[in-house]
Amino acid sequence: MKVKLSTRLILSVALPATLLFVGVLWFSSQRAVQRVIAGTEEQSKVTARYYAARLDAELSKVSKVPEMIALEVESLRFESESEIEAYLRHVVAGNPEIFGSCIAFEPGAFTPGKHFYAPYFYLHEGRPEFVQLGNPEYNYFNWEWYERPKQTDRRIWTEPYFDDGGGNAVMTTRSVPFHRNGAFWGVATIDIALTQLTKDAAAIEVANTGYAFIVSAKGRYVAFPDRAQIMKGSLTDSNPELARRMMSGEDGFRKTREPWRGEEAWIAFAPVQSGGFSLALVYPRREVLAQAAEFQFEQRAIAAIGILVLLGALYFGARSISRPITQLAAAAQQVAKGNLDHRLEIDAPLEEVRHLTYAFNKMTRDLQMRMQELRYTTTVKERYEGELNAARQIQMSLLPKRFPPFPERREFDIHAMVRPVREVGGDFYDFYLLEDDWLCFFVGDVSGKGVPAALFMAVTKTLLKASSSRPGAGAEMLSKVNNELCAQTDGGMFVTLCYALLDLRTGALEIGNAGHYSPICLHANGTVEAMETHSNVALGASTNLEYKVSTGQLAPGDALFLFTDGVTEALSREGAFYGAARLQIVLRDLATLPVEKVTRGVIQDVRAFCADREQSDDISVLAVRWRGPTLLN
Amino acid sequence: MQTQEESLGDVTVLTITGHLDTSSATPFESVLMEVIDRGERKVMVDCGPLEYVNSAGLKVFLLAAKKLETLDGQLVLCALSPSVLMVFEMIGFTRIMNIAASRDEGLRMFREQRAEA
Repeated sequence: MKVKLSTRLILSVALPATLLFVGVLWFSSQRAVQRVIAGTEEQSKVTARYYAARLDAELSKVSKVPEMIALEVESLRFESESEIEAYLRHVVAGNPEIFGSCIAFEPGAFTPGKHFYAPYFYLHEGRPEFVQLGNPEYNYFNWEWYERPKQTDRRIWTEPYFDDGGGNAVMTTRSVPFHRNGAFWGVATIDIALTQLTKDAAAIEVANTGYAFIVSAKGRYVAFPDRAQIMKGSLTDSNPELARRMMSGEDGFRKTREPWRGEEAWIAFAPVQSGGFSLALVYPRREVLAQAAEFQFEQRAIAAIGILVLLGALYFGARSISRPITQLAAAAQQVAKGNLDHRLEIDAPLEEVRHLTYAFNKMTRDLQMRMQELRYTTTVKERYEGELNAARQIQMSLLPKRFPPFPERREFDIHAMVRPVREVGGDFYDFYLLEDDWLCFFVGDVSGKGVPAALFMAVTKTLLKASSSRPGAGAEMLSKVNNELCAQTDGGMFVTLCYALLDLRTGALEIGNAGHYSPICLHANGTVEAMETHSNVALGASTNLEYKVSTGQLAPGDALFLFTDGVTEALSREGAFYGAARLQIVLRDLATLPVEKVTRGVIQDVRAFCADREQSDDISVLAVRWRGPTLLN
Repeated sequence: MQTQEESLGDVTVLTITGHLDTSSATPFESVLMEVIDRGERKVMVDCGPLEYVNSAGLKVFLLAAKKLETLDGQLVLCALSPSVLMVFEMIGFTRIMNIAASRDEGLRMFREQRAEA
């Protein structure tokens, strides 16, 4: 899969980083929500307790009034109904928080014979009005405010009620029992309006959209945002679990459905001891979480910015890495196209890229140098090969290659071949007639190579041809040629030579051997023998030497075979020399064949012997057959 | 072809091993000429381990012998194996070069020359 470096970098770094961010974000937002809820709980419980305590304080203040009345009654200071009523009027007039107050006695307990006695003063347009509560229509003995204190012998708050008569308000009654001689005698009560209570509750600010409500000991709404529900609706109906806990006087903090809008909310509640009320503060979930959401939003924004910054940094980082690589690739293309002058110029701050750039430029420079060297070497090699070719051409041009060379002469056949090696060279041969009756022929080998050897060969041949003369003067001639060559050479070059002069009338031979192999005689009867020759020093090696020649005799049909060391020292694949022995064996088979077959046969055998091994020296052969003094012409 | 150089008194001895043919003649010539160029005048080539030589190799010997001759020095070849000696003989170099059967004989050749001088 082909992936760009920047993509890969972004995938391998940004992806895990984003996952990490998201993970951290999730964790911290969970923590944030928990913290906000914990904070809300803490705060709301304190607030709920505070308001509950405040309400309690207000209620307990007025609740002292009936206790005071009860103590007054128990002190037995009132002897007549008028005294009691005057006192009661005084109390109602002096306590504006009180809506009304009543002192109710047991049947006939204050004024003997009077079944009902319950004087009641209440405020009407700011003035106390008197009402006698007890009458057959209003049998107060059965009313809660009277019956419960009597039976429990406790001070009680009655369940609030809506008074649509005098107060037109939600009222509650505090009822305190009093005794005479240890027996229940009656109750002292006050009525207070809960208007203030509901106002206070409405004034409580609970967050922005939250609210406070108060329920009575029986779960009815005493204070509630929906005024229509007051004293009519019941918490027990809308949220029985919450109602149970609030009515049992617990305080707490719960996540539940709030009673007004029916939404999810956290509700903190605390009991108001006086009156058996319970105050609740409602924190809508939406709003509570909004705080956390704000925090979460901030965090997400920071995370998003962080990821964007990271992506940007990665993008630019990847580009700063991949740009040099792209440039490098382009440069490599250039170099591959052969533009070795191209140099990379990358000014990257990356150490590795600098190294790479340096290495690349060095490589290109080195390559350029190698190319130049190679070009130079090639030129030198070409020149060298040119020189070799020139030498080869000189050598070959000096060798007669047209056979038969003297078609009109029937006394002899002659054939010569050279199989040159690519590089060395140095073999040569020649033949010519001297004064019609003598055939002069020779085979030689110059020690050396190239143009100097070729020229040396040419000089040798020229000297030989110029110096050849009638038989008997061969030794003198060799000596003379030797001195001439010694004067020519200073590189240690020398030439080995086998030189023969054949008297075409008699078959007499004069052979001069200068450091060369002796020729081999192929007799007409098929036998083969190496001729005995005097061995002289090779020509050009040392001056002022005396040379000696040998003589021999050919019978008609005999042939003389001359060769160079390229034949005997030819190497097989295993590194064995061809050798003189093998040459003699081969010649024995070829002895009576025409001279061309002899020369070609030997060359073929040498090639077969060498097989695929590269030839290391020139191979030259020359064969002359004397047919006898044929006078047919 | 490998060479090893040692000194026996004022004689520098080069021992040549292996084949001295067309391809190895040039490096051998370099070795020999280097010895002569740095001033050695009594040079002996121990041909004991030399297995084969051809005309290209002989050319190097001839060159060195001629050069030392012009410098009043001397080249002695010693301990030639029969096959190598045969090549020398055939080319006639046994007659124009100092060839000794052994190192001792070779060293004696240098002394004789001194005695003659």
